[in-house]
Amino acid sequence: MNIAQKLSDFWTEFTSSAEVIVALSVSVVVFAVLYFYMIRFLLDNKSGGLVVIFVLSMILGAGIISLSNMDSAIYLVIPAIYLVILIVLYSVELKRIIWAHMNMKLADVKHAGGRSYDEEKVEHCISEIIKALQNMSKSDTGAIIVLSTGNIPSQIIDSGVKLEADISSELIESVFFPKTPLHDGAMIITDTKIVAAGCFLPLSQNLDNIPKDLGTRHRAGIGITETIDVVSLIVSEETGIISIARAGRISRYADFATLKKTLNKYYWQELESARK
Amino acid sequence: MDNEKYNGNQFESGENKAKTVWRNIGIGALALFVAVLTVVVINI
Repeated sequence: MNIAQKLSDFWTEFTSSAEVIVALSVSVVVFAVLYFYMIRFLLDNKSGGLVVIFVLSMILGAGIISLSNMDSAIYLVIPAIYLVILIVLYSVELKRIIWAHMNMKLADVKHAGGRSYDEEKVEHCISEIIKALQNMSKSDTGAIIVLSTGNIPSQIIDSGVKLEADISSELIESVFFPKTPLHDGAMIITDTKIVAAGCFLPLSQNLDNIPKDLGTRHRAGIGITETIDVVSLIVSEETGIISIARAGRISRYADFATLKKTLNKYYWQELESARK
Repeated sequence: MDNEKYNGNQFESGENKAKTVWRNIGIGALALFVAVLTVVVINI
């Protein structure tokens, strides 16, 4: 049977009953959605070449199966192989998407609670964080502090050491003091508590927009803000420059006023809206 | 930044948003073509 005859038979079958039309249309929609997300994911990860190979292999596979007497279900092996390749090659990126969009298991972080926010305590926290950042900047001590609203995945908290300690510049500086066990990881702050320190963060893969002179610490600080709505405060070990990362973007040379503004926004806007 | 929208990993301006829509339409068309091809091939 030639291809024209097969297509003619398919069309006759397709138009034979409403049930067949609905079943095939649903199949097309399901496959289209699957392919849409697959192609978009590959393009987002700068893998346009894989998309071209995928489409060409689907067209070539269609030709081979139509011309031969092979079981047509074998055709599904092609998208299945691509799905496996995608999962294996992009497991880190997929994990980030899951963190960002699915109901991730969040770390159990206690909030200070309701509106009974003690303004004096918040001002104390803000001044202690700024003092620690400026001291570490002066002494070229590398540091990453992540300001979260309790939206940090538990895997990140578990990768470090839980502290649940009150915020103080002495504690922050001690944690990041070189050669101490926790100095190389990130410190997670939620509300008025230092939740954990020495935590591992996902590195940013957005290499095009990150200046070459920024190292792994900055990439980690930016990486976490790409997937989760948090703010990272980063002190460069080489230059002592304080940077603020938010939503995958970094602004460098943060001075006292910028830090104060960022921390005020965190305490009085972001935490407030997270509690609602 | 006030008139920009956060889209998950970057702030998106109006021009970029239009570009993203057209990109998604292109991807959608390609995905639909491959989906139709798949359904036709596995049913003939």
